[in-house]
Amino acid sequence: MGHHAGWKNFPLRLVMKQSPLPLTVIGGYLGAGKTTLINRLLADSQGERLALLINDFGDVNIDQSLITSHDGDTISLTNGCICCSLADGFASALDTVKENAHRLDRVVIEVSGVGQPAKVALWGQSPGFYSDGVVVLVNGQSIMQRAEDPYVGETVLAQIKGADLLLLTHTDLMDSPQVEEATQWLATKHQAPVLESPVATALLYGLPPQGTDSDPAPVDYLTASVVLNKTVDKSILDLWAKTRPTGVIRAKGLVKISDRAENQTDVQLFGPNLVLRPHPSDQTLNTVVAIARPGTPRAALIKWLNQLNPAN
Amino acid sequence: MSKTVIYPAAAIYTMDQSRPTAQAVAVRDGRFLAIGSLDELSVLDDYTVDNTFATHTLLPGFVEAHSHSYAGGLWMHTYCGFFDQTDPQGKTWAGCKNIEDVLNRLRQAEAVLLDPNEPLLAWGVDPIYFEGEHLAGSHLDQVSAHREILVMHASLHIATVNNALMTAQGITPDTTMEGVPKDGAGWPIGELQEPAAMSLAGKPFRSFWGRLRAEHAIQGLGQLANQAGITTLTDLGNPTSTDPATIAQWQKIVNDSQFPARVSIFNMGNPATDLQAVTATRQKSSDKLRFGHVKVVLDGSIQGYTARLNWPGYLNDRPNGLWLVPPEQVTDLLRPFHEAGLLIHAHCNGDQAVDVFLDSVQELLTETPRFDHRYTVQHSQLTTPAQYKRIKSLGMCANIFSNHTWYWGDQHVTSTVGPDRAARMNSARTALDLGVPLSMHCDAPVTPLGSLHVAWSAVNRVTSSGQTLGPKERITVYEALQAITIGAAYQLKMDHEIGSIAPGKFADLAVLKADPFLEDPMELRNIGVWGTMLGGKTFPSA
Repeated sequence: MGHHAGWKNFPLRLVMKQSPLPLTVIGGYLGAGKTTLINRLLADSQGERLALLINDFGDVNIDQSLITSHDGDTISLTNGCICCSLADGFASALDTVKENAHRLDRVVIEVSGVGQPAKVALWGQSPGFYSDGVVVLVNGQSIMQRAEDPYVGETVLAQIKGADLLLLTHTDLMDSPQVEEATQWLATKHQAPVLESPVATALLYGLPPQGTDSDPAPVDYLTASVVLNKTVDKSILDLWAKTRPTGVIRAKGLVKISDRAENQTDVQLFGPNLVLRPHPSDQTLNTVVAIARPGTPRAALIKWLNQLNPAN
Repeated sequence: MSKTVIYPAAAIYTMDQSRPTAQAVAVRDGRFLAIGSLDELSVLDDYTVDNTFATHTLLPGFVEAHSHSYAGGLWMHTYCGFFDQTDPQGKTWAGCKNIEDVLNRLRQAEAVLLDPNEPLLAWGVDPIYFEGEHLAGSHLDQVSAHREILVMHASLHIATVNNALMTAQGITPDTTMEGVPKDGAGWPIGELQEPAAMSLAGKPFRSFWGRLRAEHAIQGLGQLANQAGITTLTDLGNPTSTDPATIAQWQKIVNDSQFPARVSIFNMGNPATDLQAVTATRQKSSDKLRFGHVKVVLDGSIQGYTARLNWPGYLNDRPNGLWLVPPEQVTDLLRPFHEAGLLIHAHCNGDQAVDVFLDSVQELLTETPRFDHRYTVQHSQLTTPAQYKRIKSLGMCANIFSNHTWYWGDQHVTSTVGPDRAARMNSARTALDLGVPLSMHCDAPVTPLGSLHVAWSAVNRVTSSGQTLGPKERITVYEALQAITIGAAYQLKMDHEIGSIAPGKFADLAVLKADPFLEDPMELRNIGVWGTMLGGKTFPSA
């Protein structure tokens, strides 16, 4: 194993020309805590310059003294973040983001309470962006009842099934058997990891930009990485994705895949999904880094990562 | 004071019970001065007689209480729909019955585009009618290998594009987006499903929508209305109606004496709606242009399987539809509008959406009683008798999407809800029998702007294949004509000004070339429209 890149120091983007922006989608039904989370991301953006796409400016607490400009559908903040209204739709808001892409690091979209986050995440496949995961917030107190509701039960379940990561909220108001029950119930509905909110930002959407050190490292969480000796076969990657140990929340890396033209492929394993995208990099990194929840055996994590370096 | 003009006509139906028919109308200062026999009107001082309508039948100008302004703009693109349709200039375009028809239509349009870099944009294709044939990019390549072509489907959820467009816009085998189906060799077939994928079509996609907001589009809408005998239109759900530029554009166009219709613009209400801005727009209203009402959308469409249905939902356990507003939030969404005294119309295609709207209105009325609110269930397609009773007791109205019977009735029988609930759809008879104030609409451009077609559909309830859906739900010609005149005016809170022919009301007329009460009811939609009168000014159609 040897080399240990660490989760937070893993370079986000290697090339200096305009790279695609990661696009993270945050969804969940009414009362799940989306607004609280969005406000937290905005208040402490971890040095990342976020474009937050939201339905209603009225929902976010923006300190007036931090606003540098406000032109109708876009608010610019002193910390480099911008908030864009989704009033004119995703295409229009993402056009605004593209115009400002050179001074942004990430896009976060807040999906309406009845919206389907997985569908919204399709916009992350537009030119200039890449999809960096769907986080669905679930109100632990009400979810099981809500799922039976004749009006919104299907909507809520479909949201859950579109998640790469499920965040259980309101757990401070629940006792531990209730939390356990909600967690178990979620596991019967969808395979994605379930975390109790609040969690470190890094778990929600990957990694801070290279060189910044403001990330309050998720100390309780386990990270490990592997440097690949050579190119990796797609079949090995697929098998690796399917054999993810319990506890692994996500993994990502840049590797050279056999039979693929590009020098480096961006590998994202978030929830059950393995996403491979050509990466416009001239550098060779050949590293994959993974993060797992507290209590995950390190040996299991390392053994799993080492599957990517098969002996021959 | 202008001079009094008396217009004799072959027949006049006023939609006003006190004087249901007349021989002539007298018009002065843009309003009806008097209605009656020629003898009765001859006592007026200082008039002239205009015999323009001597052989025609006059009704109150039709009122379309659910239309969208982009109905006029779509005609800036090439029409490829299945049914014959008439453009704003009055030219009728034959329906495209198969893919070859579509390609021929596109070839003709391509031949007259001078700028080789201008994309060819088309609309209205509905492959649901092309048995088994699938429109693909390779078909469009037969039209042009060089010019970018984008054909928007009737649903507006899918576009088909040619290879030239995909090359120019970078849609390649590497495109990973869902909603971009590929062939066996990994090449995109040219179909772009849903907005995220459609936006990959870049500039042509943006042009398709951008042009719909142009002044020319609104002018087109006025011309379409004129051809249909419509003198009052709606733009139901305008997302920018509080924007000064939008207001100025509409004022410039509609307030011009040459524009042939009144327009009521409903703001698209959502949680971010600036209530004070909406209320303030009322100050911008005029005799011809109205602002300040609000529309909300609760669910999707039945033919798109996105309307919210009560149990048993769609046929064969197909997933239920989608909410556009969380049901628990509807009351909170509507409360500020309710308390500010705005008129609220809510898009509810499915019966479950109707339940949510009625529950919210009941809650709001209990909190803050209001008289004469005229809140309206829009579309109201699957509303049950029990729901109509609630609509009545809550003081609400229904604006029914009658045209569905003709355009999608067969699909509703076989695919969406089955014959039993298809027979219940758009049940105007039940609504009227229960005393619900009724209007009916076309939802242009979802179906073509045309009040007589809407009335015909409610009177006959005939599908495209010729079956009659729920014959007991048919209404009479008189009831249908009431619904598209005074009924619709009531729901727009304009019935004191328009909707019937009565002294003091605006002199708005639909001028028909035949008498709808003498024709076979099955011919109602085929009655020729001479044009309209709006505020005393005649507008013969093209």
